[in-house]
Amino acid sequence: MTKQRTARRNSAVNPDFSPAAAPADEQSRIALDESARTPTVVYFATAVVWLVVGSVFGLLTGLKFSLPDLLGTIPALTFGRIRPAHLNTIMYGWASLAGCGMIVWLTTRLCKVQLQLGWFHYVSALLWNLGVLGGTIAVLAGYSQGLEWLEFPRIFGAMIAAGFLLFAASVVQTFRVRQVEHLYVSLWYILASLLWFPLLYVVANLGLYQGVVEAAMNWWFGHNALAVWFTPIGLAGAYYFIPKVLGRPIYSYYLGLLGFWAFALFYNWNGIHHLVGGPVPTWLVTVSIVASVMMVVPVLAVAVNHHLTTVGHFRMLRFSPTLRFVVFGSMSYTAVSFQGSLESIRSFQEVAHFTHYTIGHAHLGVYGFLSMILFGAMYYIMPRLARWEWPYPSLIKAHFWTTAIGIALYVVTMSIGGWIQGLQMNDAAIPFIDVVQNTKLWLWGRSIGGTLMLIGHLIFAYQFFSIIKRAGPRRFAPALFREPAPIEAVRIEERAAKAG
Amino acid sequence: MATKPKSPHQEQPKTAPPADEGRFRDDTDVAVDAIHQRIVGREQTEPEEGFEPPPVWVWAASVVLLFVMGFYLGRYSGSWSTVAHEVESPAAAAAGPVKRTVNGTVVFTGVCQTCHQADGNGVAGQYPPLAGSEWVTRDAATPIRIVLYGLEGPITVKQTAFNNKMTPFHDKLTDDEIAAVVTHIRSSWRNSASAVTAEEVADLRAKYGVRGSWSAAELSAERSAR
Repeated sequence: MTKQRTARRNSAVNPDFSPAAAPADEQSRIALDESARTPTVVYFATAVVWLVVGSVFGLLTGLKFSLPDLLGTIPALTFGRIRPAHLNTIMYGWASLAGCGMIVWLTTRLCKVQLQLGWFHYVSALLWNLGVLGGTIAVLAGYSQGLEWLEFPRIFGAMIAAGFLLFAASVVQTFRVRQVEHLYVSLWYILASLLWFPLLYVVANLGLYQGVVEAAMNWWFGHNALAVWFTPIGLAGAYYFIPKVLGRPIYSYYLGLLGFWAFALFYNWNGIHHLVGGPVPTWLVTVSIVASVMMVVPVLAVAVNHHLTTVGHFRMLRFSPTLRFVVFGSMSYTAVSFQGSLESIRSFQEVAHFTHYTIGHAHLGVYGFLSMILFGAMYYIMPRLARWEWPYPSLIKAHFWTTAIGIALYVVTMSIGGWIQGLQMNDAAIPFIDVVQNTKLWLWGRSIGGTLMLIGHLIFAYQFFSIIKRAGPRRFAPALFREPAPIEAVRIEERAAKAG
Repeated sequence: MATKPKSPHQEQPKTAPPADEGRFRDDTDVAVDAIHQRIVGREQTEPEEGFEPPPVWVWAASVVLLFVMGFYLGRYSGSWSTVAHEVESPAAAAAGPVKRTVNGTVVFTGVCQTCHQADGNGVAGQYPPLAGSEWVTRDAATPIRIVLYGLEGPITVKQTAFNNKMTPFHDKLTDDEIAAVVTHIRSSWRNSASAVTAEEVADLRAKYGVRGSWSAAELSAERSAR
């Protein structure tokens, strides 16, 4: 679309539009933040509560593998109920609500216009939180749809869907009155997800299918929840915060295009690779494997783009919490995506599928990638909305190391333990109970990793609610991991760098 | 290619501190601010895209991958059949055809339970009990004979007289099924007699061919003749 046409259309929607007067200065930033403040803080705050609740569920679920009798007499806290409660509170409570908050703020910044229809978000946040709360209670009480990630009874699914539509309406309206001509990459992902996810979620919740087709639908949904909602959130965040913190342009527009369109083309076919060996037509699985492996293209494009943006500036990871969390997430995205392409292949899956390996992979994606980027985004956004610096920089450091070490320990132990488990299950000479016994040590690794993450979340929640209340020591400088060297030292470093 | 991006190191103005921060800022603060701006930027401009050409190897890898996966798609398309995928593992093929096992409980529930009841006690005056029945537990051949050809007329079971007709099953159940169900009734409800094999059933079936129902007297004679 040419610039003229864009300008004309924007003028039609918004008579005040004038590219020359498009605000870029601090005053307008303050006004933008003001408009997005309450919705974003409400989404973030409720997300943090769900994060803590969801990680308690998760840790209990993990501990049951090592201590099978733990809370086994309470029906609501048995494995079959607490595991879906963990999944759904994390996905719909934590990740989705935090993502909504980030999208609202990012959209005002990237469209350079104040948030439109802001009050929609109060209704949306209410509906969404009631949906997650009701759904979680229902699942714990034993009322479940029995489909992965769709466990919430439909009434609560409907509340979440309605909340999403209100949220999307406001973001799209903000986009329509935008004061920019060029759309930055993050906006592509955000807008695409707003179109894709409601369709996916509503169709999956209608319950139109039975039998094998239902299994295919379930995996189509399960993988696409990542493809069309969670991954776009994470990538929008990474595409925004890396260049934003570094103050450099993202390396290549063309890589951005390749990454986005290959992502849009290939990712939504991926889910059926979970049915390798299942009673579905061979070609259906093959097509899914082909698409899964082709995901290497968009992932490579994003990874190269982010790497070449950051290269030469990795020193800044020592200082900026946002950058460190986001780069950690971005690297996890590359790792988890290549791992996913590999896992889709039949001969690999013969060992790894239906073992703890897959659980490790899932956590690398949703935690190592998505959650770490959301943490980074919150560390950047919250001081601007609360107009208060993070009071305890040392707690940010503690948060980073507990969660980074926690997830690393989790993924490494689950991958090794899961792979051994897979090899032994394929050996008919080894009794099943021996295979189970041999996973015990690795499962403790998971529980320790999960405990570290929960500790990190409690630290984060404490600091988060401190900044909302403007509690804690009043600080005047940004909260960094460490104080930068004196200015002379920096200059010397720069001179040295220039000299080669 | 295309427009060159602005210098990434362009200095950006720092966001003004909120007005309520009436704090005296000395030179140290200014210096620290300058460092912050230089290092992480208190707030940089909104990000934009550069227009560097993507590395050639990214394109090359993408095209190679496209060809490889195109081949894979054709090779493993399963002829685009709509029939569900069948796994043929070499190990299973080497082991020969799968030997299906019959579950005696299932046969009993489907065939016998209507008359002899789930607890094996039958119905008083109508259908004799199997639980604790000497006809079931004494020797293996008698219950096989009864299941094969049925039983008609008066019979005394556990000191109680019955007079009814039991259906023959020689044309309805296979050797495997009869062996399974006879083993089941001989080992359920505190019965603890030995298991029977499909071969024993096949032998008796071959011995008698096609014949009518037994009477209690005939069964006793067959047992003594052995």
